[in-house]
Amino acid sequence: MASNGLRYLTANDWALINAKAHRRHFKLGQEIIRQGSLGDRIYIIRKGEACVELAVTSTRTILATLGVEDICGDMAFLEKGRTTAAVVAKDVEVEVDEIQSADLRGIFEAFPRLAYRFYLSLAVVLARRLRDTSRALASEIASADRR
Amino acid sequence: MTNRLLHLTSNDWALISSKAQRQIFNMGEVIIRQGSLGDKLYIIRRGEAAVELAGTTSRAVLATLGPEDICGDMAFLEKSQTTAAVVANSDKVEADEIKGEDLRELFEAFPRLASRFYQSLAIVLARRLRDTSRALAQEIAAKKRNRLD
Repeated sequence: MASNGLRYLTANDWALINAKAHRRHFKLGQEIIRQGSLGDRIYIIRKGEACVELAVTSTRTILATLGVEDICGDMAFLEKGRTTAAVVAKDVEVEVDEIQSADLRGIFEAFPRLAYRFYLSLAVVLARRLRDTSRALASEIASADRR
Repeated sequence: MTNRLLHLTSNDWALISSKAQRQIFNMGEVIIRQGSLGDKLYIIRRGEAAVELAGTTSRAVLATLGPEDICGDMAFLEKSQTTAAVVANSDKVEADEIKGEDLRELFEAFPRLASRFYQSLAIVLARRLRDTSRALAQEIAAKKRNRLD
């Protein structure tokens, strides 16, 4: 699977971001992000795997699997809205760094080039997810047409 | 609409527009060819354009773009080939063409503009992803229901 990491951030950028992060631990099956919660923080996976799950009319669909360095909670952060999918721990022990949106925006104000690299990286992550999801949708539609 | 760069200021736009070349397309003319190597961005200024995906035998319209909407952004971001075509959908469509290298030069000189540009682009992509994910989940749910029937 393609990595969802923020690839343009430098070691120095990460040091600044990590200074504001809180390490959280989740057990298998625990929700890291609840669908419909307020997007006032983002998460970076540090250990283990997690699944992005979308509930539509009583069915849960796994949209993606996340691993180390992958970001989640980013869409609600971007749009200052609510999360539209859940993220669930898929390993016995999953560790994530939680960063409050307000802290992140504070760093962005102070370091515009870091903000530039962050949003560029995030746009690349989103473009890749969009490509994968569009491809999956196209093949679902093609198989539905055949039925 | 959903494909606008919401956080750019009028000053940002003045800088970007100074690098842009206005192009005019007639109805049905291809603005972006599917599969082309696109280190160019387009901003629609007048008229409408359709985002089309070519299948093996037919073409599907994915979205309709209007004034201020951006296109060519994914190929620009990933420095890769365009995965859909954009076709003029009204008479005399005007679009501003901006070269990737010109834009990146601006970004180096004005990091806050760069940050606002990519923040805006990320929002556009997040919205498209949300719509596509929902459509995918609905297709999968429908398939499960059919299997149960």
